[in-house]
Amino acid sequence: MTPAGRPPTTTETSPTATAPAAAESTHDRVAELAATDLDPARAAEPLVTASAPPRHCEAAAETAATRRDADASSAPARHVRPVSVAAAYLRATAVNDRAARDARPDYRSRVFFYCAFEMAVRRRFHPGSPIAEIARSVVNAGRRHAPVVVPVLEAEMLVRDALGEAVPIEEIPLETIVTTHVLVFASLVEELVLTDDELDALLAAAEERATALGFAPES
Amino acid sequence: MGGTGQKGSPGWLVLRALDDAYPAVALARLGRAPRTVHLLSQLFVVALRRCFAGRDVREITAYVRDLLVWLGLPARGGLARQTEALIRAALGEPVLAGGIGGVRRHQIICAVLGDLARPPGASPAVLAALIEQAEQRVDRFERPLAGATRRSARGPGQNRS
Repeated sequence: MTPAGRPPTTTETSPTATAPAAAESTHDRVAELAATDLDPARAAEPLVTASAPPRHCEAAAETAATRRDADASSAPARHVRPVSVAAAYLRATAVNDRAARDARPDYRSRVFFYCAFEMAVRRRFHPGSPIAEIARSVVNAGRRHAPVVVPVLEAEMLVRDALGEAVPIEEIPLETIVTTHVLVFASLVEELVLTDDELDALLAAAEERATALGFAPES
Repeated sequence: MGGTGQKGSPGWLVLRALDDAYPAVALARLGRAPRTVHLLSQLFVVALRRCFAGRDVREITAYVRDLLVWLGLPARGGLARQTEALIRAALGEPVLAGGIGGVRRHQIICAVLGDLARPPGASPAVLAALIEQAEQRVDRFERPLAGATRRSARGPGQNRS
């Protein structure tokens, strides 16, 4: 996950840098993932924030909601598995495991992270959910991944934005957005007590949506 | 302490600033002397709890957006989040405002308090009552506890030498 021009970190012991060091935890990897995109050449690259893609994702969001309802009414559903590296990374984070390969936090991966985050948020909350409940989930995400800092208010705003609220989400640093998408997703999966199959289905649906937006994550 | 009606007292100065054509600016011009800062902080708490206690947080978000738009300031970025954080901190979520520096905190407090005088705004009598209550809270909370010592401030069982 080393972008061009950035020196390897201490955890990247081999040129391939695909297997995390033995002592490396999910927290370390998430922190690194969030920090990796600070390459100046890429920092200016817009992330999927609610002010851009989510607005032209509204149709996709409705489609996702419809699909979710359809899935619920036609259980047991076919078992679909996500295929991308980013999905495997997100899955590993959610189940507190090590990913076989680290995700490269490029634009496609970030679009996928956003899609997965938004789908989990919309499954966990509804537009009228009490803010206290949302805040509690955000705090839990921070507590669960304690070495990584999840700014509470910014994360809450991103959740509320994913629910379609008009909230101030400009000027949130990129690393905060990526950290929130990954860690709050993982925490919501826990709160929703998703089974492995349900988690796979959610990630596959997020891949599908990212692909529909023209940003298929790397396989 | 100098009551609200006593000319030259912090309370009197705040009341006069709220009567200015640009109350937020006038409040900011009062400076950051400790007594003034404490009074404005407590006035902020009193006014917000009377306005927003028990209300949905989404109403605060909407209020902040409305206020910043009215002031001609960016309403979708960090300033809006910091303003909401300070308001929610005053209403019982202090952790949200932990990262906001003193200068920015003072600016936001002045802007929000200046809004008290925004038409149709609170009447002078109401403003005077709010300031008086804030002054009482300054005396109540911004002074050291009577008889408190470093030793007695420790928890039970920690005083053994």
